[in-house]
Amino acid sequence: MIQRIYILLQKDLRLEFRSKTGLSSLLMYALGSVFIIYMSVGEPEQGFIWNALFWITLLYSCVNSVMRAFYYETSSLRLYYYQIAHPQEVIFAKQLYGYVLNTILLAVSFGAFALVLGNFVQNMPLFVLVSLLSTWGIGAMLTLISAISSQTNNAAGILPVLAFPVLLPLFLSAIKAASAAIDGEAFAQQWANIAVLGLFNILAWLFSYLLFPYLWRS
Amino acid sequence: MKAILKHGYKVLAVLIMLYVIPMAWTGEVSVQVILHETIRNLYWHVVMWFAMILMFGISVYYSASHLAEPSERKDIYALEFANVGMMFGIAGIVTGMIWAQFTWGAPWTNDTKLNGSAASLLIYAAYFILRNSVQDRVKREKTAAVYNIFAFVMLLILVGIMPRLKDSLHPGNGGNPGFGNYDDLKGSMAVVFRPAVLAWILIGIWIANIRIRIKTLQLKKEQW
Repeated sequence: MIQRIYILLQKDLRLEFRSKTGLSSLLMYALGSVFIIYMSVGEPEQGFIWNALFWITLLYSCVNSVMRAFYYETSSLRLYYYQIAHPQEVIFAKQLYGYVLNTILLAVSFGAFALVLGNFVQNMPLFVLVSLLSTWGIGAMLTLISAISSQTNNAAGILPVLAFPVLLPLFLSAIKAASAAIDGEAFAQQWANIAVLGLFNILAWLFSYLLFPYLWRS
Repeated sequence: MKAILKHGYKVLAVLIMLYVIPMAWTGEVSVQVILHETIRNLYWHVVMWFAMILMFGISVYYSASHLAEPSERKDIYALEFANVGMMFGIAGIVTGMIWAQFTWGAPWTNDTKLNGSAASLLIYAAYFILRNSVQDRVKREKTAAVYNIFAFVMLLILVGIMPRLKDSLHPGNGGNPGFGNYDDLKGSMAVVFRPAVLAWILIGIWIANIRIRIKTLQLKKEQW
């Protein structure tokens, strides 16, 4: 099973790096947002503004990245996957792929933010943990939602409608914990938020494991 | 006998409501600081959430059983119970906003429970949108059933688990005393509160029942 997941993941990544249009358009998206923010705000004076701008940028680039997970899969391609792998393996590979993409996006947008707008983060390990957990959570949840929305006639339109209410609580926790990290608070006060972020990751995998096979068969 | 089973619960709901409504306005309550007489809202606001969870629970039961063994009837049941649950949810938010206006000073605060319930109602709103955006009937029923299970678990987490991890203005959270601590609540208020929960659940089932019958007839007419 792990081997098949690995092969599927490798296939997705290879496709991505071979075409390069996908990844570069995403990076363009993130960097473009940072540039626009720099032009309009300059260096923000307070940490919480930086935080808000950072999460808005991250939200939209992550949504864009994962949206494509099932978007380009034609029905004939799906039939082929159906024959060679279990549905759980397919969605797990997609989720791992989302993890990889979102980690790259996170690294690039944080780098750009720190470079252009200044680095406001005081507790770096906490910030890294929080932002990694939340981008992974977004990635895993969105992959599943993307699978649901690909069943509809208007996948691109329905995805945000399904995704934003689900991601809302995740973002609340992420933004609170990140702003604590910016203010230099210690780990100990943020366990509840970190637990929520971890919970979202676990849930996304659990839902995919239990529910995706039903979606897949249709 | 069949008629008693069929209509008995409706009669019971009406009778209990006839007892609950006057008791809710005039019955003995435990008057606390800040809360004063607004504690009477307990009979409406809290009851709405109880009824909502149960309606969504029935809905998700039919969705799960639809996945196990598809049938059009189960899909209609799931949809209509979710509709009624949504109604209770909106009523819960509105009664909560009225209560918050008089106790916390604002209809909406950045509270974990408020955010959670708003997010979960949005998740359920997305359920109805999702249903409308799939044309093929079999595909729609299956996708909706999958999403309904997803939505219900999210609801349980948002209103059940998240508020326990964080502070909330609600009683029983973040160092606030829970309503169960007021001794007189156990006596004079419980005899109104508990029947009220039952009555609203019965009314919810009644509404869902009517809606299911309408929907079934509409479907029959279409397939005629």
